[in-house]
Amino acid sequence: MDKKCELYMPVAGEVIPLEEANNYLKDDLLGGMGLCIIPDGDLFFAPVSGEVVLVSETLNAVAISTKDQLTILIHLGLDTAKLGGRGFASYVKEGDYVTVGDKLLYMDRDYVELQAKITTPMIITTPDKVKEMNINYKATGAFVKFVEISL
Amino acid sequence: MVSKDVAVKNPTGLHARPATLLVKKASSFKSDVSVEYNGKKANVKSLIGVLSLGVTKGATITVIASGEDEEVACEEVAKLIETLEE
Repeated sequence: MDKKCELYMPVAGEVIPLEEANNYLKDDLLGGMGLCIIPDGDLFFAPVSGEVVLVSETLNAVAISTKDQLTILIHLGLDTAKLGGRGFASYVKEGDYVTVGDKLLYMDRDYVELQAKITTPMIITTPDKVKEMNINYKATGAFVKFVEISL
Repeated sequence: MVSKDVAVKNPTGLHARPATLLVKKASSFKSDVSVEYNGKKANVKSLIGVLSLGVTKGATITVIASGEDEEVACEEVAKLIETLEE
């Protein structure tokens, strides 16, 4: 019997394949396991429960590690590190424990879209732990279960 | 262009915290720095690039630097990867 892990939408929006982010990134090809969300809101919430293991200095990325050692990275926008934190805010810090739905980050989409892109990749940084991953690309609402992972 | 193979000994591979150190280091150079693993290539100046590779402990990856300071960039990034301990 496989262990299962479910991910919930961190924000309302459109779910698209990870490869589509490559159209913007040119040579930064994202070949990992994950997806992208084009967010419909400025607030991002925990898609899973676990420990916050990373909050980037530029406040545009957060990674959460679950009790099964699955690590999920949410990277707000593409090319957003260059904004040096402008347009972003974090509600958590490394070491915090979060539950699904807890507030994580804020991104001012209007501001970010002026200099970068709001397309938000969500990546599993521990792909070796994943047996199977099913993504519901039709999900649109925040807090909706949309990914099922078998470990 | 300069490249160097490096073994990743870090117990958590190239995950969260070590990745941010790597991005910082690579961004200090003028050259383009990328890392190749398992047929995938990522820009080391991009946090998401590094983390999307999913590099685990025991992996051998190739650091590739191209530009003005490619020699020192490749050397220092490779050295940092080798000495990661977290």
